[in-house]
Amino acid sequence: MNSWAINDSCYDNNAGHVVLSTSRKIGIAKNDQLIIYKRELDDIVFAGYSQVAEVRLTQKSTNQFQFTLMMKSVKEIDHKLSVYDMAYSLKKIYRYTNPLLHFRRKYIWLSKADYDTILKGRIYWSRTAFGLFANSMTKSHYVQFITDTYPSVLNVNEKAGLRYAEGWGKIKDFILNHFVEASYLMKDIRLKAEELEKDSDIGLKYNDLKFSSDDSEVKDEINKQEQLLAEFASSLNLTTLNVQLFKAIDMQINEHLAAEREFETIFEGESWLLHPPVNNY
Amino acid sequence: MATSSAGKQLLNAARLAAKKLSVSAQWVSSGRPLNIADDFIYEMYILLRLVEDLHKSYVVKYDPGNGISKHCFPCKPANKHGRPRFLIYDHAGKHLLLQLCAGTKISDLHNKDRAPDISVQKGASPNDPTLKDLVMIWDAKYRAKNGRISHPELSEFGRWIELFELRNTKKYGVTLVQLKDMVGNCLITNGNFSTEPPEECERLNIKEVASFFPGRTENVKP
Repeated sequence: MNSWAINDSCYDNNAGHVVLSTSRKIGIAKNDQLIIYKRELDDIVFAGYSQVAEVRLTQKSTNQFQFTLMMKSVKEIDHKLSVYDMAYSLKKIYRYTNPLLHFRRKYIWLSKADYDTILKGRIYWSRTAFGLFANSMTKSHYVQFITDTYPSVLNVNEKAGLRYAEGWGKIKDFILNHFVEASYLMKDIRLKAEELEKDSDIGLKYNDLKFSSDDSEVKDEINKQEQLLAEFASSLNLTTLNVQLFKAIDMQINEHLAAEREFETIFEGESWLLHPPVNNY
Repeated sequence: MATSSAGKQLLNAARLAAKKLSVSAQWVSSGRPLNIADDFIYEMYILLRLVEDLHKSYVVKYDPGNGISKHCFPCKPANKHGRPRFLIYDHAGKHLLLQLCAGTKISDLHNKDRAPDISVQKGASPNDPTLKDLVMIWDAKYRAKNGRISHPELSEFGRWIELFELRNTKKYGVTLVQLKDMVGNCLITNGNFSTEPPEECERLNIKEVASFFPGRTENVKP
């Protein structure tokens, strides 16, 4: 029995069947499980699920086939998770920043594990958190993260040390020490400069201040960078004690430990250090 | 158990944070990866703390520099010419007592250029200053996660003090108020002191400053 994701444009609601036009005979058969997916705005949502009751195949020419799939009743998927939501929870996805590229076709084969994940609406939280942030920093930052972290995990024999939850812990620290701290410094630079600006005799204007290297004409404005870092810090929802966003993610990981273990089996052999879910490394 | 709508909201929030990180992780114009340890961000913070303090006792003026480097603080060692600096005048605003520069080169006793992160120079210091124009130097060591000033860093700074002939300076003629313990040649970190004893810092005529960061109170050794 196979599983497939089918574009809802192939699904005829009135007739109760799916029509697929293909250039070759695909192995779709009775009792195969189907997920119906739907394009919505800039994402794809998993909308419904069903099972194939009967397959009718018509060959139109050497390279043109038409599969008409009679379906058992299509039921709605309640969780409304999307491809972007599940980009780090589905084994088939490896283009993490453009996961929709995996759903260009009208019919896509799914592993049983991926079918179950979609049906159950489960998220691999630790891998999602790790992957999202690993892919958001520059390559040189990521290399620095691995270089900084690697010595401390070199002697790790236990599998536990290579779990995504562990990697998420490490990358969180890196983000805090490099980017959150930078946002604090830049904010204080702004506050001090704005304070000095109030004394017009000094002649300083915060918005004038820039950085540049000796041989470069390119000037980086401090105020623009401070604003971007402030927006980043704000998106983390920082309080004096905590990064609320990180804490919320940690809670999800801890509340779904059984799912985490199951995902580890599905993603068998992967680790955040050796086979990270990052683009093109 | 299926992910709830709260879970979906959290996923949206995480994706948004990741997007915000991706735009802020490089400098807007140059595209250089933002590097808190190398990019003069920490040094700029220290510089403005110093200006803020000097402003309590002196008349301070900002000289933006000129030409291509006007308003541009260096993010790596640079020539003083054209770069912004702060001018420190007496109470009456008449006598130029000191210049405060950031990341600009000063030639040492071998006539070799070195660029301390922050240098307090004499009022008459020219655009190509030498050790004779120098009053005191501060150097910044950003540490992730409470690291220490290392022994090599302390030794290197000690060597610079010798190269600039600042080893025997006892009086600096600089008035600081909140930062009064930092009058002198300071190795400044957001992290912790080196493990060398205070007597060694005295011998080198260096002060170590730890926990120098927004929202924290600094410690000075000795």
